[in-house]
Amino acid sequence: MRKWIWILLICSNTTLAAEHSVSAIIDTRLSHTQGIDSYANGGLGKFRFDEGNQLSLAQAGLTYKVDWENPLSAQVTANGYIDGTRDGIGLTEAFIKYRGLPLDNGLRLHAKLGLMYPSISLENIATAWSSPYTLSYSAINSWLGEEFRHLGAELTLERLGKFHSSKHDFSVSAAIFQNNDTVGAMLAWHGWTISSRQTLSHETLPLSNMPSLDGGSLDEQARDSDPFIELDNRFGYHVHAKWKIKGKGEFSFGYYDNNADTTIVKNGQYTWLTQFYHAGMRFRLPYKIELISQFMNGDTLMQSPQAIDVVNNEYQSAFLLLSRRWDKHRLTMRVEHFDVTDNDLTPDDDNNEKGQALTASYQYRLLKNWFIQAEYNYLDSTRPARIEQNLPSTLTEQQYQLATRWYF
Amino acid sequence: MIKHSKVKYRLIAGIVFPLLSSPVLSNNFMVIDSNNTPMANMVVYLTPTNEEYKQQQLKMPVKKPVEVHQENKQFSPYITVMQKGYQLKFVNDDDITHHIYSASGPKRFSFKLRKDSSQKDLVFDQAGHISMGCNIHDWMSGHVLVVDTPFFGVTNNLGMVEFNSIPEVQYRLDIWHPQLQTNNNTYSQTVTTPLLETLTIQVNASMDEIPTQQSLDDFEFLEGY
Repeated sequence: MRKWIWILLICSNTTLAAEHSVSAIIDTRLSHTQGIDSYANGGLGKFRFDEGNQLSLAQAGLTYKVDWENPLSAQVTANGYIDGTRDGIGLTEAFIKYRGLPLDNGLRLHAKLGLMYPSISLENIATAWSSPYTLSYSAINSWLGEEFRHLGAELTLERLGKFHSSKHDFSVSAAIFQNNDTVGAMLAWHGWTISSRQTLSHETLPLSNMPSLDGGSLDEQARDSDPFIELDNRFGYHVHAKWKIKGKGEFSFGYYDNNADTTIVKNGQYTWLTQFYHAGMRFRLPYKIELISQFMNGDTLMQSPQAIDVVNNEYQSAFLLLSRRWDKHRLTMRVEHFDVTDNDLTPDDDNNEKGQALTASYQYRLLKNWFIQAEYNYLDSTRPARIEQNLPSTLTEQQYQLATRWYF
Repeated sequence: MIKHSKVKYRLIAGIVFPLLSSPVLSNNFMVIDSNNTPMANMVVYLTPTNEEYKQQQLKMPVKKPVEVHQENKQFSPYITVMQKGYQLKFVNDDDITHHIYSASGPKRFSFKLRKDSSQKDLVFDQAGHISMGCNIHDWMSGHVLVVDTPFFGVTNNLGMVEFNSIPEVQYRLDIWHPQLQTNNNTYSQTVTTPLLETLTIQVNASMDEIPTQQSLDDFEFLEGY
């Protein structure tokens, strides 16, 4: 992975005329969490902060971008956290982008090459993958932030409607990638979360104290999951299509398959075959209300070297977000549902889960690039596996957050 | 900066045709639609039907460059009209880069215009309609109409356009708008000046919706994910 970063840095230093720019977000946050210890620190709590009060540097994100005179650009994004659960600083994305000019028939080609997120989130569109709407992302996008990142190439073909006096733009994308072979492990073992932490490219993710890791069915599994590794040397793929209606909104639909070979286990890291459909829409409703909704449904499979299903889960989640801005004020509400259904016969690894969450967020724009944001998160979930760690199967967690966010 | 609705094209025909002895007269045109509603921001241009005048136009003095700005991620003005052979200046008033390109028309170009008042001059030496976009901000759209005559203007909010001191000859009058649903987005008729009173021209064609140059996103710090 480091090799890629060096290639990017060398490219950016070439003598071609280029514009160099830096954008950043500094999010300082005060939080009060009522629940249990965070998943981020090996607990089973659904939020990123442990129970109690926490003052944190919730995100220090920085993107360095080089934009050449030709249609090429490159960017590297780093993030840092001092949050009391897992402090760290590191890279989250690094890629080269090609954005061709539209041809006379309105077709345009884009390409992206490097370490990147699959293009799925409709919330994480601001600097360093932050969300302009809420402090904590939806369950779907929290999972993307935790377990998804890959080294790959994405090609997008777009048809711009304005070349045909049409309001409709259509695009199709296809990506192939590696380094996402353990994705699904954290969703199985701690379930869905409502978080604002992105896993740094060098990080590993601590598992909770599951008894099955000590002489049980998961005895071979390491204590940490290494999310961005390549175990089987096979390429996964992601395809998605988008339909944009100018001035109104967009619909998107896609399919992700990491195409992993589940017979491989190396150094305690199993290969997980993870596949899902995702759909999303974004619309400008009357009264300037913005609607964002995403849905995801899929499965994940982890097998023993003898090809016996150890984990075989189905999962789904959906959220509906409504946001309205009045000059300097923005109010956002989000409701969501999530579940995991455990279909394997492993007796000491119950991954079943069901829950829903509500988020209410208020943002005030103090200065052009300085925001104050207050947010309330409510989440109730049922997860029988919590019982074996002396935690309640049914649990309600709540979180209050007050943040100042500085963008530049 | 040239505001779209306030564009005033001063015509300098008086300088060009000093030998004409007729008093300075203004010729007013009013453009209305089939419901008798004034049509604003319509390009109106007059081309002498007599070849002799066309030749004289070539000796026109150099005009200041016409400017089209990129401001608040919009082309401003939305429609620019200019005479063939003159220079158009692109000015980026935003604090971000734009990647301007021509999508159609006789002049093809693309360039990145960096933030904070970067400028780019282009000479348009062929008449025609050039539709422009920004490859970074797809909602941006602008139009340049290059005409082969010095006599052009844009109607105001009352649908009015005024031509001062133009030669008293017969012209082909063209009314143009990128959203006008006619052949080549143009409505034409013959007129002869001087006009004794405002000539009202009814355009019996529908107009497409004028695209709003606005993104759905109203948050400033987006990264283009």
